[in-house]
Amino acid sequence: MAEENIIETTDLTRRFGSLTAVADLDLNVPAGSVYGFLGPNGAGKTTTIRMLLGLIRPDAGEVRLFGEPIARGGRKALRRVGALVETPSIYPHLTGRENLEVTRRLLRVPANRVDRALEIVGLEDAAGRRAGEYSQGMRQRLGLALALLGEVDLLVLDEPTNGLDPAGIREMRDLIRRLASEFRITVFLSSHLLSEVEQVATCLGIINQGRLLFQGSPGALKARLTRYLAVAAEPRGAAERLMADAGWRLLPADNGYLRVAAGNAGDAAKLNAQLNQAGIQVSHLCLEQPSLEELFLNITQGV
Amino acid sequence: MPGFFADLFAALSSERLKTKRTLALRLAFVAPLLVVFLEFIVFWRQGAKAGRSGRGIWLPLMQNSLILWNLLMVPLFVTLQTALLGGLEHANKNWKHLFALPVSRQAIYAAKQLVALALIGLSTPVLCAAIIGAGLVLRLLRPGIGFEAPVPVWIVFKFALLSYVCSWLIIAIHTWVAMRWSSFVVAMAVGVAVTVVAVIVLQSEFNIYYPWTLPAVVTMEAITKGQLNYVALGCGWLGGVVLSILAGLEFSRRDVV
Repeated sequence: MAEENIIETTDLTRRFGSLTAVADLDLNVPAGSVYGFLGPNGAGKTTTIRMLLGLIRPDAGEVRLFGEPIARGGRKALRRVGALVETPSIYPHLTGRENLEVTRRLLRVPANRVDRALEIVGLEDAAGRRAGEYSQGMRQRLGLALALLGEVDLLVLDEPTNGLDPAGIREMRDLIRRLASEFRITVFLSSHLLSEVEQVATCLGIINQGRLLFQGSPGALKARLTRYLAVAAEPRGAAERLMADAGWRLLPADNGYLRVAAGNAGDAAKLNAQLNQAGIQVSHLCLEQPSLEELFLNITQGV
Repeated sequence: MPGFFADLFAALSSERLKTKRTLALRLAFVAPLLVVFLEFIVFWRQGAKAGRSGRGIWLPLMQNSLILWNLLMVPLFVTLQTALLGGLEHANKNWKHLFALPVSRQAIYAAKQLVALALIGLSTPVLCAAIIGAGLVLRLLRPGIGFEAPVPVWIVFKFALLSYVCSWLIIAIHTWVAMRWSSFVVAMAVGVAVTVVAVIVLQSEFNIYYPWTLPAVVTMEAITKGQLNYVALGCGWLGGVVLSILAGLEFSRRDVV
């Protein structure tokens, strides 16, 4: 694949009445990546995905798929895209296989693509049953099979693990990993839970209130993690003053502990000595590192 | 344009599969049979009185069946069929899947429109066969009331076809309503409302301007006066074609949220 970025958006904006659902979004999804598109519910993820697929029009900005702008009517690029948006689009009165056949006929791809898609998602045995009888997990897998029917280089999945039990979530995660590594498909994956994508994503984008707050590798996100010392000391006010005067960077208190930014265990010893010297009683001093989940929450909550 | 037709054929083939195990095909048979059955009961009970117009008895049987069909059954039947076709996509939010495929949206809409036309079209020969069948059964059950006369096969088919062609405008309107609004209630409410209004409008001088009475009026004029109202026929048929195209364009421009 020659393209550097499979998905590229520039200043993408969409409003619904007075609500700006997506604002000035600049996404860059590199070829071959698994891109985790994260944000709380209502952050603008689905609106973005709908614009990527040409389902809704942006008020401003541009979407490029495989380097080509997708203007309305220009549906050529969509030939290489498979999508699962929100709930899987299935016809419950048809069997799993017939559901795939409906889309296969529309795509005009060879009949063996149905078997291949069923095999990839592991639905061969249930293919003859009506989709209306499927469990949530099976429906989701059928939705994924529908997305894989064409000659797909990009898979766009909107909250694919929604409503799945833990086993289903793990299955879906393994499947996504396999699609990326074995079939070399670029995956654009949205979720409101970092824990769901951090194990598979090679690239992350964090969106909140329609704005992209972070874009980069999980490593780059981790680099933003600030280690800190959690301190319990009496008198608390004096401890706080001393730390500020001594040049420690105070962080918002958490769980009743005072918190200061710190680099290593040496900082802990240094702070302890300073507090002791000033006659302040230290009852708790611990060097801690926030989890990615905390960082994600901090970013999305604007802390 | 070749791309559009390739998409259209693909969409038609996929629509055919989608209607499997639905009531669509059965409805296409049940609706005309029901109408003719009601007329059969009337002619069976009233005998020669039902055909006292002096034009034989085959023509009144056909005329009454076509009036009942055009005025009451077609609007409701079209409403049901198009709501069923639309509901297939609305129920599981399938438009977002269909419209994210590299297939012309107009072709997908056109396929829906053609399936709706085909289902109503299929009912037309069923209606004709039922009318003829009913007359033949009455010939046996009620000998002497006039059904011994030769079966006017060609005439029955000719007028049924005329009423079908005039119905294209209605079919186009109901298809658009059923695709445009996801609620089954909207489609049904429109269908019931226009049918009730049609019963009133039929008695007025505006009956030729109202799409839901137009097929009945054109067909009746052709049967009773032997005149074909080409303007009304054009409105019903060509109007349907034009509206289908406009509705397809409008629908394919919509945001799918």
